[in-house]
Amino acid sequence: MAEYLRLPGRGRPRGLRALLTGPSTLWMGGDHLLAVDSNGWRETYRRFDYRDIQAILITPRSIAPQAAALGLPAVAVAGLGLAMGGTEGLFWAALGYVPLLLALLVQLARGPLCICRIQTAVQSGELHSLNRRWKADKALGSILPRIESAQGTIDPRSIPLMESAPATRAAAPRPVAGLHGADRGDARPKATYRGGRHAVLFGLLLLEAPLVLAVAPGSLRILVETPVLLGIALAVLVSAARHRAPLATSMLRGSVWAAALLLAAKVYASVVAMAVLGPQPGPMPSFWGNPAHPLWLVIDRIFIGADVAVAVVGFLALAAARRGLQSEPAASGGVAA
Amino acid sequence: MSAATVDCAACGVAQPPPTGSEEMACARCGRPLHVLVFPALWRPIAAGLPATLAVSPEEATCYNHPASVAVIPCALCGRFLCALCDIEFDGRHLCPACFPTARPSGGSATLESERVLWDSIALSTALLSCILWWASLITSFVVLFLVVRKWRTPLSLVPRSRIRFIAAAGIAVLQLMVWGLVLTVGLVSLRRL
Repeated sequence: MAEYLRLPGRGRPRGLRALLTGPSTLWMGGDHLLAVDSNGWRETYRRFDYRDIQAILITPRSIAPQAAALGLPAVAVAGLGLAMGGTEGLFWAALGYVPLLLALLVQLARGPLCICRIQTAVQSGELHSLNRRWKADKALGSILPRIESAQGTIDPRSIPLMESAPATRAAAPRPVAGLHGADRGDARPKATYRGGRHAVLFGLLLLEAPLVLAVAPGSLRILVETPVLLGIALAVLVSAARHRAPLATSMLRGSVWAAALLLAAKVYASVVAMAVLGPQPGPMPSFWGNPAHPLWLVIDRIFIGADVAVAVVGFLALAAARRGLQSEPAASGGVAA
Repeated sequence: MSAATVDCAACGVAQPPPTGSEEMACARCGRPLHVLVFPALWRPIAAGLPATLAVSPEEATCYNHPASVAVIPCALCGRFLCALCDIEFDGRHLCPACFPTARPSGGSATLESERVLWDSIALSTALLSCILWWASLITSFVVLFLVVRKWRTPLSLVPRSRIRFIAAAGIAVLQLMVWGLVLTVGLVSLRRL
């Protein structure tokens, strides 16, 4: 049996077919790539010999359909809950809304989507497992040396000679569109991303800790301020995810995920606290002076501790990742800040 | 213009390839494309060898084409083959009739295009019977049969452990034990009555 090495990525076909099929994976063999598509009970294999791969194309894919599929039900559920009115309605709205919001957050934070297509003389197919740009980049980093060792590299001067006897495609003749905008690439050199967005995210967490300390759980103020912070953090998170490739240490990734989950959990807990306790006055009450609410105050303290811990660990991970970036400058090339 | 083209990853329309790996836009849908092209795009595909006609009756001829000179015997059936019928695959020369049998039964994994995952089937059946508990008396035997019968069957072309088989067998044994307990208690109760 050929020995295969698993490449990063695990994805499903686009559209409704995703509901009927299992995950696809990509494996690197000695002389070919193996795309494994599965429906759970049966695996189908597509092989791409390194010598025969003519081109690999990657194009960005909009996340809007997925965001709409998750976001619209979330809005509907929240609307229904709010229509019920009162704290009970708010509670049910949060109960339905937060998991969907979390799913949307996960989708956004996993990085930008893409379509990756591979082409040989006899077939052209989509690599479903490489459905995120960072996965595609990482997998290509492993595949390209193999293809280049099997085929060599292209010398631009030899292309006219090669074009005089081009490879014949097995498929029927298709319309060939004229090329527009091929040279629209930006000549400006792109700066290396050094983790600014990550720093903002962890800084926000540190800033939020004293805010939570000053405000009672379930107060209207925390219900307004925490979602705003969550929104800012979400924007930072998505933005950071787009450029995380050069700083992708597992520690840093884990910190970003922990921060996002923490903020989402805080919004959830705030809504539940308000539903259970009712609207609270803004300032934080004394712990001992409010025997009815010690549990919520304890939860509040846990959140503050977690805020600080995640922020500190995040800053340390960022510093370590930046040190790694400085020691390996070649690894950071071509990533925009 | 060159006949070599690359297909847009989004809409599939053929495009003239760039001269190297670079960013371009699809001429039809306008989406940005990051294109990596390799020398194989311009490499001509080797044409097949024509068969040579036999000129004397002493020459060995092809089994399928009696007028053509045989160049090699089939590695599986031994029939003489002309250059037209010779299919070189995986270091062997096969005739068109034997080529399909070079698939899994012939021991060549390089031609396999699909495999059944018996371990997943066994585990799914075992888990499903946890929900449809009344069916578990039958399905647990089916699962154990599958585990024993298919244990040595190659699972996947890519590395895959037999943990699903073990889990399925564990669930099936547990279900049988529960059924045994229920039936024993039921029989004892009936005897007491």
